[in-house]
Amino acid sequence: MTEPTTPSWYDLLDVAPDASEAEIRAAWKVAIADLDPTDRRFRVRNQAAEVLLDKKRRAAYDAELAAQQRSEQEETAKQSAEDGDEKPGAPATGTAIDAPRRRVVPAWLLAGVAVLTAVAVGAAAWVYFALPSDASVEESTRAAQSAAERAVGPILSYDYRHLDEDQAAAESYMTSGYQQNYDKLFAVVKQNAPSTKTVVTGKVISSGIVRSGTDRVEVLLFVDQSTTNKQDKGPVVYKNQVRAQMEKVGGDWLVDCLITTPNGSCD
Amino acid sequence: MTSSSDIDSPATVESSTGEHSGSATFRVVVLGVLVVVLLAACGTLIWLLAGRRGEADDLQSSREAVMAQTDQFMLRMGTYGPDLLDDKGQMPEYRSRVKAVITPKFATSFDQQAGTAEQLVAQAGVSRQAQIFATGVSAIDSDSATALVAGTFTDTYKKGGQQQPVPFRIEVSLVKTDGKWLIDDFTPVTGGSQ
Repeated sequence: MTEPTTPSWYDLLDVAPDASEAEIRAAWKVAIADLDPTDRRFRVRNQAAEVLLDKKRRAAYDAELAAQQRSEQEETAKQSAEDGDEKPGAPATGTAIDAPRRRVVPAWLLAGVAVLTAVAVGAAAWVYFALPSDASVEESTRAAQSAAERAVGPILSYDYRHLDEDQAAAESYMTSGYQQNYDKLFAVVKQNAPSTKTVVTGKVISSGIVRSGTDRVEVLLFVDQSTTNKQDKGPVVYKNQVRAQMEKVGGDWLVDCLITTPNGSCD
Repeated sequence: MTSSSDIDSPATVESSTGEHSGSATFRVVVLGVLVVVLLAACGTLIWLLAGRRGEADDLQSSREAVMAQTDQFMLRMGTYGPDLLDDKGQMPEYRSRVKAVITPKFATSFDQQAGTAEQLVAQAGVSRQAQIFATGVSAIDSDSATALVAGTFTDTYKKGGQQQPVPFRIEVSLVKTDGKWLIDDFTPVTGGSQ
């Protein structure tokens, strides 16, 4: 079916292609009657009337319209043949220029695709934020284990000659919550270590994962604590084990709790 | 002569069809954008799910199975006494309990250790109780693992009573056989200073 894609001057004045001069003039008057001269349509409709009320210009325009129509008919026929959607027996339009009729995307289709898109984006966002990837869990767990190995030595070490420095060094590996517990314990150390001249050095021998995670990891560490004091000049080595609960704070893995006794807990 | 400008398409200046055409184009553009975003979101979702197949959970489950079996091994190996002795001065139940969680290869060396323990129980009337403090996994793959376990052995003699608990720190090697973790060997963790 051939359908011109653009309206003609006839369409603008709402007259038939074979309308008489009087009909065109009457239609033009009606068309501009309610328009302000500054209105864009005023100028356009005047332009339409100028062409259609001038016999020569109208004839030229009609010829051009006919050529345009033929061209569009050929194009449409070609496209229909390619698409195979030409309905057999469908009459070809004989009118000069019909209103253009393009296939419009229906609103329900747009709405449906929009809903599907929203669901897919929402699901992807939820999976990304709520479900840690397998790789990230293991990567985090290994990072926490390494951090625990670095932290436990300084936390379990002190030298009576520079207790404040040792305390500051140890605190840099802790969460603020665990730091309060540590400070209470270290206050006792500060009271006694100078008089006993105690030096304790903690050394991690081995470590293993108890519980993996992306923001909390529990690590078991075997620690040898070598101790000297004014009575025992030769080091006495205590073979201890500690469980370190590591917490990720601002991208850093910090010790949130150290369980150093067999039946100890973080509660 | 009529110029082509005189008969330029009126659609460019006015008509509802022009507005209609603009709306149709806009809808096509919106649909295109939505389809592109939809495809991108679906692709991203598939990619994200591919990296979240539960392998981390499976690995943690394997760790827990390894730790549980390690605990069982230490408790079974470190718990015995005169009540397990038979008429021949052996502890067959002790042996079978331990052998249920170790590999056949390790069972050979365990038999020798069990013989020593049986002698001690028979001659000194000693009984031993193991207690586990903590267990962790230092390495694991699909069919082998290394666990760390700490605890104490407490011996009680018929004459002499209960002794001070003796702490232990042990590294245990395990292998997965027919889907079950079995202890393949163990060594004390002594540290560098010893």
